[in-house]
Amino acid sequence: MRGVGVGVVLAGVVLLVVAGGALFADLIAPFDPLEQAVDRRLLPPGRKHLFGTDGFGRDVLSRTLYGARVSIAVALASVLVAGGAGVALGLTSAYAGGRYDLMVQRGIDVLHGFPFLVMALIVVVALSPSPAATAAAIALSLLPLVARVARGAALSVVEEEYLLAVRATGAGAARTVFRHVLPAAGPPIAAYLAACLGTAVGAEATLSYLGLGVPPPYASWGRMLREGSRAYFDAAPWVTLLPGLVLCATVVSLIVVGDRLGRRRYRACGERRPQRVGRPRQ
Amino acid sequence: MVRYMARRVIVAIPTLIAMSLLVFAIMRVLPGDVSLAILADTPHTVEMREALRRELGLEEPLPAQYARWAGSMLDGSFGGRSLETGEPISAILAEQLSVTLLLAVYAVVLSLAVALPLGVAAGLHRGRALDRAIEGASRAALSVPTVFAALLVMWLLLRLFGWSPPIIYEGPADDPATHIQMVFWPALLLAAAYGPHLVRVTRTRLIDVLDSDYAESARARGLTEAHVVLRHALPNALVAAITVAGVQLGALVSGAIVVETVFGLPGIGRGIVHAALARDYPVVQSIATILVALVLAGNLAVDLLYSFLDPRVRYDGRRM
Amino acid sequence: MSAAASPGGSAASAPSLVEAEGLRVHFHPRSGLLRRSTVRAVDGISLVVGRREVVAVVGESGSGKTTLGRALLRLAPISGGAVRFDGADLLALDRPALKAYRRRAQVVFQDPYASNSPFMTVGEQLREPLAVHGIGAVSGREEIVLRALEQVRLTPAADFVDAYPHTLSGGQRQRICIARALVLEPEFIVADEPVSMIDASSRAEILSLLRELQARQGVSFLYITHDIASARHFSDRTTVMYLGTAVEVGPSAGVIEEPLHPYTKGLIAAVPEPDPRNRRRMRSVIPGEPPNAAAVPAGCPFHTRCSQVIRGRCDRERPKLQDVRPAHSVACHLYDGSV
Ligand SMILES: Nc1ncnc2c1ncn2[C@@H]1O[C@H](COP(=O)(O)OP(=O)(O)OP(=O)(O)O)[C@@H](O)[C@H]1O
Ligand code: SF4
Ligand SMILES: [Mg+2]
Repeated sequence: MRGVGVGVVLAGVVLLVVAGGALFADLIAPFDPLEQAVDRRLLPPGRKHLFGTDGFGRDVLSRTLYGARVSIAVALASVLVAGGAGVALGLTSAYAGGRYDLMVQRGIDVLHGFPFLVMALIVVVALSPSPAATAAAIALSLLPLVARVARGAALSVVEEEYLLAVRATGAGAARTVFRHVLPAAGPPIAAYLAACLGTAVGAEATLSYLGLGVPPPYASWGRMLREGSRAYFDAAPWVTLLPGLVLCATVVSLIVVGDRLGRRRYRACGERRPQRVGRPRQ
Repeated sequence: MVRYMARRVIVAIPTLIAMSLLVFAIMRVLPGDVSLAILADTPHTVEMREALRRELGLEEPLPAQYARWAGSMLDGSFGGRSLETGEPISAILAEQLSVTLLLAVYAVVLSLAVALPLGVAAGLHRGRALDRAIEGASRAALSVPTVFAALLVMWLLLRLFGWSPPIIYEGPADDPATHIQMVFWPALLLAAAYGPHLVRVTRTRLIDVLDSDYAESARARGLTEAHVVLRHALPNALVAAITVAGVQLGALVSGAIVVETVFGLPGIGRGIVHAALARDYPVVQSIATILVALVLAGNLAVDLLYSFLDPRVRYDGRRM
Repeated sequence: MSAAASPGGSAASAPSLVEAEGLRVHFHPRSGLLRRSTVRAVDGISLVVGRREVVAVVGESGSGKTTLGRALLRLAPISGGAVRFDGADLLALDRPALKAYRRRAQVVFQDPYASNSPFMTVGEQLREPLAVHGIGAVSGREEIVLRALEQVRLTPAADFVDAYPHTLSGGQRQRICIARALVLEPEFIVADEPVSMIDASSRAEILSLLRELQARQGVSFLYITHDIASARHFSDRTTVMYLGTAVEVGPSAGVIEEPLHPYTKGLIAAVPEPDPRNRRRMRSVIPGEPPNAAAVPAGCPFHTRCSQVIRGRCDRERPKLQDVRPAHSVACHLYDGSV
């Protein structure tokens, strides 16, 4: 394929490794992530402990692998929820138009007015910390973004004359939305959701770092950042920075892949229609 | 013009009300019983819970609760007192808000100062190495999670200079040296998260103008490229950057919450996190609302500034 | 196609297939935060299309032709007036009846590049209407599709079934649109400037194809066009439209060779000169502001541009359509009392 840069390939590799690590953590992880040992506290990265050990003598690499499960699961859940609701809202409001569209848009505007973390924060506080609450908080923050993108993508399709032609054949709303709007609006939305996954992983880490995300028994990446940086950042930076690096690589890779997907032209052959200066409709 | 501005302001009011309703709804309606959540970690008796419920006014019907709270937001008591310390919320705000506002101003100034030249440079060198380098850098700055960047910076400072931020915050007037030491890195990190948007929009708008028929005809009339850039492209790009600066204010608030916590700055961002950890509901609810209102006001201000700078915005509100 | 499926079940005794009476389509785009303006795209037009008849609608850009065509198919929101199809009130159709109507009345749009789905092969697009209406067994549909492709002269038809629209030329795409309309065997087709965006070389072919279909299958057409010459060629009767109303109606030969209305005269004097920058629009050649449906003048809608305007009358009183010759009527005060 033409134009796939080194960056995209690298991002793909990172994502494969991280996903593989999370999936097969039981097989790969050299140690039990919860197993404590006083005699090997705060060991620097070495042959036995690639990422070193933390203040309880737990193997940081193993914790990072298991942490990936929590982080990715929370992020996936939030993107699924935000994606499902956002796409449904966006597509229907673009297709239906009128008063409904206006109402949805106002609602989205209100949600969108919240800084990402402020929204996540109040939701987490209201629900008490848990993985589900974290996912819900992130989902609610993502919802207006996804809904806007979905609406925009669908709108560019809804305005196409071929949808009117489809309507003229007698096709109902469901058929029109699923057979015609979704295939056209789908790829840009999917690309956006990939980038959202990156944002969600970052958001989980941020919330957990602040102590408002996933609570203690779960070793998410954000949780590791919090524990590592508060207790012995100076003495054992690897406990914080190595999981942080994995987190960072994952987020960046997801965004790179999303970007790349988004830039693919969805009209298969890249052909442009003859330019029309003024469309009769506004 | 005045009418246009007045209308923008008036239209923002229902939005603000809707936002405060949403905060209220999430805090009160969503979790069921607030008092249970607050007392979750502490052993308590039924009487304690009921006392708390009375104190919080939870026995009242929800509309009355909302009205009381909204009223207190307007009369300056901002929802009463902290559950944790008993301190009036207005006092908390007075103490913390200035820190965050200063930090935000530094970050915006810093990012404008860096992003505009970079955006212009990228636009003028479009497609060449410099452009690609700037694009790469802004993309990196945009995608690295701020928490990680902040922790990394913190560690580097510690390693390289053995430096860690002063513990006690000082205002700019009291002790400028400490103040700057304390806010410089957080402001820089915020700017790094905020500036890339400005770089991009500056570059794009600059290129748009340089490619326009208008610029073409200016060149044809014999005007120099420098003239086209300075008189036409730059002002346009600036206006666009300012608009984006307004749109991204929310990102600035999120960023502030993170960097204040990492660097121990006693601003409102750290304040809301602290209150959240302590389950200090009234404080979280009021600070969240105030942050949202501030962002809305900032957006509005930028909007008005924009309409002032760009005469093409029609005064009858017909835009978009 | 039998008339038994007629919506509302009314008898097919009425001679005309489509009848619009005082039809209005007003849009209310937002023009301020709370204000809405009124765009009178179609403003009280009456129109009849008989069985097997081709009626042309001509007029400048913005006169409401497209909106009229869409309203007749209930693809535009009708604000007032009445439309009857085969005697049945279109506005009263419920969902199933509307679907049945869609089978009997079809459309061919102006822009063949925009009116094909880029994600479906030609075969998929032609099968879709059949699936929507449950026509034929799934296996038998292929044959219907092939037949339709042959009808529009895309041969060998089998080669086109699996093609995507982007591999086809504008003329070929427009044939696909026509085929898509034909698979449902409609009685009435609205053809909205079907050739204006096609290369000049294929225009004549497509028009003669339409004419042939009309002759062979007895389909009625509403033929919307800028091109008065093609209206003369292709249609039995012509309606001249200006700002949402009919200003002249009559046999095409009469209207085009001996126009009565000052606007029609202006249109005919103006060689239809396509605007090279914009294939959708014709350069306005009649002096004065082009029609703006958001600000329809009082009195005769054309009085702001008419060279024969009668002061004190044309700007006050809206002229009504009146028969001046047999079956040829005009809405203009110049003909008051000449009946
Ligand atoms: N959905 C809409 N909302 C608002 N105004 C509309 C809408 N559709 C059409 N109009 C307006 O109605 C008027 C008539 O438009 P219409 O497309 O019917 O004209 P037309 O005669 O087909 O022109 P053309 O020759 O350019 O195709 C125009 O002023 C147009 O801007
Ligand atoms: S009615 Fe008057 S203004 Fe209108 S066309 Fe006739 S003469 Fe001209
Ligand atoms: Mg038209």
